[in-house]
Amino acid sequence: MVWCPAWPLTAAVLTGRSGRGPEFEPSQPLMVMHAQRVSCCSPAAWREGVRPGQRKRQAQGACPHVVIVPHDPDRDARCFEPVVRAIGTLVPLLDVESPGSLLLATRGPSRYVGGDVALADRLMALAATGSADALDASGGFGVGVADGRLAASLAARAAARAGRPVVVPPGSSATADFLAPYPVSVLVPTVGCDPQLIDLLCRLGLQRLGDVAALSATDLLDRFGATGVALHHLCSGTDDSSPSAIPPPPDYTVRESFDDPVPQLDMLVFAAKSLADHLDAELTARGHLCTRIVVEAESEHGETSRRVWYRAEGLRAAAIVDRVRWQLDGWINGTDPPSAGITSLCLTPTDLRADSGRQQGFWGERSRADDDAAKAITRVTGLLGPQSVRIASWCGGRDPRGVYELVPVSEVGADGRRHSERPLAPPPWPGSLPAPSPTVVHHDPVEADVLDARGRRVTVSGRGAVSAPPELFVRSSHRSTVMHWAGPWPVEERWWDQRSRRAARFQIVVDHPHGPQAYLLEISGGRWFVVGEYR
Amino acid sequence: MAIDSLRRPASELAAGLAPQHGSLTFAHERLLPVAPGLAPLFGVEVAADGAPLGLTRGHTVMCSGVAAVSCALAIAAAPSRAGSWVAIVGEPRLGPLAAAEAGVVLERTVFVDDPRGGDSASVLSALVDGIEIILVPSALITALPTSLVRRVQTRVQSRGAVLLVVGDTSSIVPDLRLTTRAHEWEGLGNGFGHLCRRRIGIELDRRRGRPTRGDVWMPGERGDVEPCMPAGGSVVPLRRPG
Repeated sequence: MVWCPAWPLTAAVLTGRSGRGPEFEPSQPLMVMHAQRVSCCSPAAWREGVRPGQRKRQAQGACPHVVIVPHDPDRDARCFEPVVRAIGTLVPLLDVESPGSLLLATRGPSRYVGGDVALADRLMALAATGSADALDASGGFGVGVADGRLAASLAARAAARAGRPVVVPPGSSATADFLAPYPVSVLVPTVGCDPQLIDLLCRLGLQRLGDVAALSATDLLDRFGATGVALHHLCSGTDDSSPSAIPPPPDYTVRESFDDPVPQLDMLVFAAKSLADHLDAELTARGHLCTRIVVEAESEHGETSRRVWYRAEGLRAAAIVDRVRWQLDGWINGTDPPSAGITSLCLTPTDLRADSGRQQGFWGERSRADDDAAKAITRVTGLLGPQSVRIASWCGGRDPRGVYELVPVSEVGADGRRHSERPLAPPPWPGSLPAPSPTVVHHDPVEADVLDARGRRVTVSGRGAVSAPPELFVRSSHRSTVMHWAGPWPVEERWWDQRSRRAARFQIVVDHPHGPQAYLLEISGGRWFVVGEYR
Repeated sequence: MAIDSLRRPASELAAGLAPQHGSLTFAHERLLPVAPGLAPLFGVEVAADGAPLGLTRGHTVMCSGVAAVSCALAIAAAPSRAGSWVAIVGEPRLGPLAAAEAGVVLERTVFVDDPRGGDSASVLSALVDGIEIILVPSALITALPTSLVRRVQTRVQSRGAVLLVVGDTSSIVPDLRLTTRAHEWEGLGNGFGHLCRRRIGIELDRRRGRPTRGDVWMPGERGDVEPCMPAGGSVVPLRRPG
């Protein structure tokens, strides 16, 4: 474990030196406030009596000239990156816990450099590269080598205080001996233990880690459940959660600088295309997919446009170019355009994930037909417009016109998968028609007329009684005889608001030269409409 | 030895032949499934496993008559279930619920707006490139010049898609013509009941060979095709006079 006790202060000093923030002197008393409490302080402040956890008034009472450094996790992370990289030159697999603290598996590297002590010295030297005297603000790095996460972080803290590496010999008994004298309260900052649990342990008389380790695991399990077992493991040095070592994120930033400032959008987009292609090829070669990218452009006069773009499905070259175009178009042709041409363009992928989206599957996954169809759909969308290609999405309901809604593919995407959950056994909709459903559905009402034997329009009374049996079906002055009919099935929908609608539905079969033809009709407000046709 | 070589599976033989004869496709690769209810009409056996193969890729199929839409949906359903995509072009009134009941998988079905004017041919060609079943109303074909219709048809052939024309039109010569005629609607009385199923007669006319004719329930009680079993078999091949 490599640990820096007050990394935010070093970060602040470094940032101040590079001119991107207020300047701080490492030797003066400094402290960082977070959530109304002192979160860390410099050794100078410590000597004056400032302690983490104090309120601002207490801290200022102890040291009136203490300087408050703003709390900024981003800055801390940014400044820690060079340290991670420097250590990464010796140990490729690192687990960065938080800015200022990183964990690594020592077995391989210490064999390589010749022992744990030698490794710790090398790590100290690497960590201090480039930030030598700025580390005065935070008390320097401490390197601790021990079995387990808890012992290593305690060793690193001891090392930071002592100013030299602390190496705990391997083996659970040695680790337990090292841990035993520590108070139980160290579990809060190191492994994120619940403070209430620590309080309870103290009140039970278990002041030190050794006291907890002396109890049997069974008793702790009885009293605290799974937490108790984990606690026992931690305190007796048998915690074996090794650091999950992952390679540090590589820097994929691509940048293009123009010797002659470029004022036109087209040329910028062209440049962006080559950058995006390059980036995409690099990411694809490593099997990565970028989901978040920072696009930055700078004009000759120093104005910048910086925006973060996110796309859950991943940003391929074309998608990146689109985003660059949108951003620059908005900037150059917007209300606050840059006063000069653009001199540099920079793309930084910030979120990467393994690219697994385009594999062809065996069963139930994306098939080649789906890919081909997606291409064809994209092409047709380009020809006809985004609203022109639609896919049916299940809504439910009793009206055959509304059971499925057609939604543009450009909004939901077409990948052969279900867009809205259609239940396998649809819930019963009182008043819905049983299968078969009409094959032709008229969303715009088509007027028709149904007459009885005496040539009068058939009506339905408010209580759902038919005035006379239908005999004649008239549609655009074409008359046909009603052979069979059923209804009325009253529909009263949304009576609670102004969309309320009362209608009665009928199914009729009429005579047709090529055989009987069936219709679904609706009478609403005394007028007949064709809702559906069974063709 | 010689017999052993003959016993090799056909695919191995094809691999040996391929360099000399270019790409080789088997008959079953050129066929798409048909609904079991329509299989006797297409003259194919209903296999115990899987849907029978009977619809030839690259064909233009015209469905006409009173049950044209149901018929087109029934033909589209089996390939759609087997993984093909379906595009319904210029017919937004087609009921998605009826299509789902017929067996069309709506997750693989797109509804394309009517591409008015001369765009129709390019839209159809673009769709044919990636989608296997294209369903178009006859009005859309009628509105196209004959030369474009022929170009679309050639494209359908070369890409192995199926163009389903709903309705009758003289501006296209289909490879397969299905003429439907409704016999009866079951389930509806005079003031009671509801529509249950319809018995239709289908006449299937290939360009060559004699037409076949058969009765099916379309839509059946669940909305799909059900074979109709009158006494004495369902399919009677027509004989040409003389």
